Amino acid sequence: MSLQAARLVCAAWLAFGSVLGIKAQHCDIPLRGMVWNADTGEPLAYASVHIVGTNLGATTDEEGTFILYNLCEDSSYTIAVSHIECEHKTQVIRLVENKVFHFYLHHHVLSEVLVLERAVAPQAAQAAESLSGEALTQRQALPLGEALRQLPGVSVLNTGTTIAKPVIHGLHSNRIAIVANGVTLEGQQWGAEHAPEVDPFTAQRISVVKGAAGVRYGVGAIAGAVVLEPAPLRQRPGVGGWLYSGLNSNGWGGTVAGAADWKPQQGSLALRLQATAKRSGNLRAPDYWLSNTGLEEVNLSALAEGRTGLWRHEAILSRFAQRIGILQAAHIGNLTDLQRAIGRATPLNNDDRFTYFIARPFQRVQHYTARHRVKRALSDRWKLSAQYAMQFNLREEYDVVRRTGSAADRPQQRFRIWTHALDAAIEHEPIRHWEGGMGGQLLYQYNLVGRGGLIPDYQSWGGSWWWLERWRHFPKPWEVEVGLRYDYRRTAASTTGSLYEVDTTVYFGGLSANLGLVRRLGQRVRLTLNTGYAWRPPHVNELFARGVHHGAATYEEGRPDLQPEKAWNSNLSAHYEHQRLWGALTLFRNQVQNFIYLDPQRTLVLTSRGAFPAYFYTQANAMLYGADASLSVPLPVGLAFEGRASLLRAFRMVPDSAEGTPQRDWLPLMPADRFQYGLYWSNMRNTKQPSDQTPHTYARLTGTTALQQTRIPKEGLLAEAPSAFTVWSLEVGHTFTLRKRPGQSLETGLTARNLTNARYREYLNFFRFFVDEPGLNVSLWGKWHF
Amino acid sequence: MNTHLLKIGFLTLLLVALVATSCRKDDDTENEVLTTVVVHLKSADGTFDKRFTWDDPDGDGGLPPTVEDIVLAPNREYEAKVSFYDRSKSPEVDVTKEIEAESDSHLLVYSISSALNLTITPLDMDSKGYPFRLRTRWTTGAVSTGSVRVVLRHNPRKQLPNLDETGSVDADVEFPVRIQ
Repeated sequence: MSLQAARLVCAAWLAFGSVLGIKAQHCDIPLRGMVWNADTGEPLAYASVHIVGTNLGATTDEEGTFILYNLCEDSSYTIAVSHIECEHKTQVIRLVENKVFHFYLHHHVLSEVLVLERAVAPQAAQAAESLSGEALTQRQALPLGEALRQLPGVSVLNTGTTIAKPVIHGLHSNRIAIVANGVTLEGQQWGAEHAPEVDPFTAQRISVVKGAAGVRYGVGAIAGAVVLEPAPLRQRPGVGGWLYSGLNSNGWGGTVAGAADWKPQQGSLALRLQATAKRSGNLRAPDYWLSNTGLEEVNLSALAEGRTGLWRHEAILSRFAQRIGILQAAHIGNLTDLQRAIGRATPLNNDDRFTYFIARPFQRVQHYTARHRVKRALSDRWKLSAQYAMQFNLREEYDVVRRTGSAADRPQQRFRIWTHALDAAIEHEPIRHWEGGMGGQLLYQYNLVGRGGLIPDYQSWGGSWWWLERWRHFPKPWEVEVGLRYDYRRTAASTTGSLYEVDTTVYFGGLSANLGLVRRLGQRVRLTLNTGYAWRPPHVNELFARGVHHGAATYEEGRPDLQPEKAWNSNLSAHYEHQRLWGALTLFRNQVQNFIYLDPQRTLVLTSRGAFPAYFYTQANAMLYGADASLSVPLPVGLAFEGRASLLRAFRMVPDSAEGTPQRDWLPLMPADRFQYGLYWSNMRNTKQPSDQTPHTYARLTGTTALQQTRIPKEGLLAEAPSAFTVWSLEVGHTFTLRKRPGQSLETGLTARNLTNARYREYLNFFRFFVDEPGLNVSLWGKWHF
Repeated sequence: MNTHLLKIGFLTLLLVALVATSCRKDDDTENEVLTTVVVHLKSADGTFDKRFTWDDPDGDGGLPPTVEDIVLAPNREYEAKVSFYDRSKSPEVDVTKEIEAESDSHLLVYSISSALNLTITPLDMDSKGYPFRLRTRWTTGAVSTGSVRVVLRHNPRKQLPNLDETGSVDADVEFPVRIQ
């Protein structure tokens, strides 16, 4: 779509919206509110609320909430709130749909009543899971992938423990989007051993959106997205923050992290500095040390927020830097060695001792992000925002080399990628119960691989346009979400000084669409149905890769004529929640046309390091379907039973040359069925999730059973999938309030993973061929909130 | 007081981030591709002096490598020396000298197909007295055909009994051999 056409559509839409908005006043809007005791911070029950000059009125329920129906949108009302114990107060408000008005009353003191209006977050139309509060704090020191492992529908693709990629419903890498602080991560995500360059300590909440999320998160998100949201910056003047410190027994690792927030007395500026430092040495499997599995990481970020005139600014600067050792036993020169290494009781070439030293092979990764976002209100209803984000990603891979001397400190592969993205959006408050927005993105990416790289250098230009709207009209039980997006990508790839010449430009364009329905059945049940269409252009490595994949001991070759993958993804979810009993079930089906995968060939490619089995990128239609479930059932004495299950079936249609009818074959490397079950105990039995600051104690014992993956392709696998296993973990936490320092608290915790020191191997861990997973790991940590 | 500290902290952070991005030396990557393996066979009397080449100048994949057949006479003794070259660079790099200089971190392993009447015995040792096998004696038996596989290993654990399986592979090529 040309820019002009896009501009026209945008203008027409704006005009249409404003006509609708101005023309008629709708008097079918409810006023939703809560009344609070401003002195104790508790909700006030039996407060009476009425609109002055009318006979409309209500009394708050036990949770302090009230609703007045059939009021007019955009009108001003004088609300009188009274309670026997409190002052009688009146306040003028302007009614806006989908907002909750909070009234704070004081005990018999003549002071202003404070009214705050807060937007009611729309209910997710798409299946989603999230990690926050104590569950996040327990896992924040882990790599992103590992931290998300426990969520239903999420699994992890590992290259050892330190390199972990999140997998959503069986798909990963370029098929999901990782969004940190509003910026979609642009690194070398195509590689199975390239972990996302994101620090979980920067987030207050990590959500996993399951299913096609192309409309919201852009091209590629055909299986979902991982979204990290930082805690909001300080609103009140002063200084605050937290400091975390943790120790791990396995790998003798330590983590120190902290954040300091500052808002000066004057002005609108608010700042945050955040830093994380990690170091750990060789990990230990139950029977031996895993040689060269150390890690070093230092991350820094700074956030700033402020206003100039009508504009709100938000800026982020962040740096992520990591050095990760790669298990020496997994460094495989050729097929003979690989076959020799597989299935040995003790790993080959393993230095069975502890050290912090990281030797070759290792990876050195750095990621820098700079982002500036501006927002302003255009009118009462319309809001404009724009964002520029620059990212630089550096990945260096240091292999075991024959040479010493000056060459010994140079990497064998270096990938550098610069990404510039400019976003703009116009959003609106409800107009006839529809709220949403429209926007666009321009993107430029420059990827430099250099001499001897696995993939050519490339430059990409991209443009996209999206439109997303949500209908909700409280108290109607339905909500509808519709979205549409168009993306265009042009990629020019070329090699310089390599043995293999590429110089070509490819173009891809495609539409994404999304339709979501939410249906509430009473207060407790929510059903959502989401169906989405998303696409992904083939990545440069799938088009042009050529070379031996070390470690896997395979020769891989791209195919320049690959077509984009197109996914039609539907999921149906049901949520039940009543007091402490809750459960969720998601059924999903993802039909992918032109699914790109590595197809084992019946030939060997002869190289100077021996013969390697050849794998060529190819595409076929694929189907993935399954179910995720989670459940929490309250038991006596503050205990609760928790259970989770993730099931997946994934196959592709293989063209059968003899018959002409396609045959089904399983897709390789799909997560095996997994079940989690355990007990949770908390002394705060009435609160579902207490805040970090409330003093409380909790304990959680979880067992995880993964079945053996038996659904594997007929050929092309080196060894059968590892057998089923069960591992146990224990998390204990206690939060203190510091009496001498009001408002401050100390969270402490003890986490033990692989409690029984079980020997097991994960199907999705590439190192399963060589070594067991790490054994018992006890972590002790503390987080001081100040 | 507090505010000053924070401001200073923020500026320092900005500087650190900028310095860290701008000051990295832009070294090239180092990729050695052993494209060519030569077995040089000589008889003691000097009547036989031939080089047999395994060559893949375009690297992994692409065109298949060219391999010369090693043709030897029955019941004779030859002295053999293996050389390694990187022909992906120009001019080509003779890697053999480096391998000899670092003999203790390299090891050559030969496997002879069972039908071939050939024995290979080492003629050298590394700088620490462990096997190296760059130079070997090839003794032919009766007329037969088969192959010899030459593997160059890096960082082997030469003190272990299974030394031929340790370390990582730098080169692994197979020559067809005819004794006629």
